[in-house]
Amino acid sequence: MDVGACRLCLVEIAGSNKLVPACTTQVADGMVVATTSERLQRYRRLLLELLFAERNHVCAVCVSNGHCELQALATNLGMDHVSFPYTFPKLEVDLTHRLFGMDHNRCVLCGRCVRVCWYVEGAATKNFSGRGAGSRIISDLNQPWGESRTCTACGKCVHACPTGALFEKGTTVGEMQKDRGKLEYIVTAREKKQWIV
Amino acid sequence: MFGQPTLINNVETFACVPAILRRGAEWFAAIGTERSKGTKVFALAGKVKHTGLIEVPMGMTLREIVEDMGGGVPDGGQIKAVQTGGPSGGCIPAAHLDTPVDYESLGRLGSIMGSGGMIVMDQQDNMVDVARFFMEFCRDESCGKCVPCRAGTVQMHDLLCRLLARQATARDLAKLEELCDLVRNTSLCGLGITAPNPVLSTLRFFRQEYLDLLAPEPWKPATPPAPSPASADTRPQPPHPASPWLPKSSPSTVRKSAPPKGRASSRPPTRRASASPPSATWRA
Ligand code: SF4
Ligand code: SF4
Ligand code: SF4
Ligand code: FES
Repeated sequence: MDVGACRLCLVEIAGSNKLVPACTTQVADGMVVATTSERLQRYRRLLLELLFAERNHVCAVCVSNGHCELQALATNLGMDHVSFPYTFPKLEVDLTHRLFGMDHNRCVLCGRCVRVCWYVEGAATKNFSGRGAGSRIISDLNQPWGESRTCTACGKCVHACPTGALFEKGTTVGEMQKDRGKLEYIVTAREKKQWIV
Repeated sequence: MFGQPTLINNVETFACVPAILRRGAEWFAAIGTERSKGTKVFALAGKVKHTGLIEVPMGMTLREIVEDMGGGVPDGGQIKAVQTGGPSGGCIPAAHLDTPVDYESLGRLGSIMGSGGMIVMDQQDNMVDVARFFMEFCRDESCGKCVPCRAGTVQMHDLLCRLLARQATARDLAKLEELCDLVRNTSLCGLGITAPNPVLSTLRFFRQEYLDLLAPEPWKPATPPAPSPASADTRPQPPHPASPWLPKSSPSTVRKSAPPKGRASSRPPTRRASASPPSATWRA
């Protein structure tokens, strides 16, 4: 269920000047792939900068500080500053759910929460709304999460989310550690009938 | 659709079908040039006397279309450029008005046939504003799925607005070009891939108009300061535990002869040049 949306995994394939996303491209015999090059790393850094400038990421006060995939990518790629002006959108934080919170300021619109909610939990609570820079993750038909009648409060979206956008209530700065292992366990058990912890 | 092979064509294609059925494929193919056959419908607009929908044989020159059919600029003005191909097309300067309108010739000038839009601009039109207008369209039409198109068009539009407000510097212009390259090469679909076209084509033929709008950089010293290694953070950085999919050491390319490129930062020298070059930290 890869979507090829973030473009961070773009790779070069010899003989083609089109960059392709590794996550959605099938390998073929004799394919010569370069996963790292000066150009690719530059593109990746720029893409990350765009993500950081798009919403309000203030790691120092974020629940995911230190356990965030976005932050980790930035560290690994040596993105030491953002060369684009921040757009500072005014975004909401939805704390209506009994157990979880959603902070749109940290969302990168990767859609993992939507996919896990539809295809692993089967609740179909999380959805996209809007388009372009106005895209938002919504619950049901854009209700407060707490009023959603489809949400089973399973927490799968929270643990699939790579950033501090979805979190468990009661966590404070740097405390929200995501447990992706649990999700992988469920999916391998279902798809391969293997119960590997 | 419904599990069956499906071909979806646009209305213009469908409109050609009855005529081809009636008069035969040879008749249709006889119109136009060797590689671009048949006719093409354009929506002629902008600074011309007669605007509206026109159907022309492929290979007609731009001049014939805008001056003869369109009647030229009202009140005798001068044509400056013709924009073809809709929002993601390109601007063709007046010097190339004798270009035949076919897929290959337009492509060579960095434009496209695209949706068949044809907008005529005269001396009063500022090409940066034209680029900004089309970028606004692309920004608003982005679906928002992939990052370069969703966020890149926002930044490109902002940069063009800053240029028009005479607040952009040479560095911003370099940033704009860098963004064009990024968005064109990394976007997921055609909208993002072609979104930088209006900027690229106006930059190609009307760069001076961009340069004229640049604000001076009063703080910029005559020569950029040399990076001071003393302040650079050269400590080795441990790879972050949460991202096992990223290369941790030397380029892990599968290609046999990966040339170790120069590590110099490709960014333009900035005032923050004292910070360590990006590649130095993650590769350490
Ligand atoms: S989500 Fe990640 S990158 Fe964004 S503020 Fe939180 S820790 Fe930082
Ligand atoms: S908690 Fe479970 S059911 Fe509720 S929105 Fe998240 S994934 Fe869907
Ligand atoms: S998983 Fe998190 S970052 Fe990704 S779209 Fe959902 S809320 Fe946003
Ligand atoms: S595009 Fe492949 S991981 Fe995002």
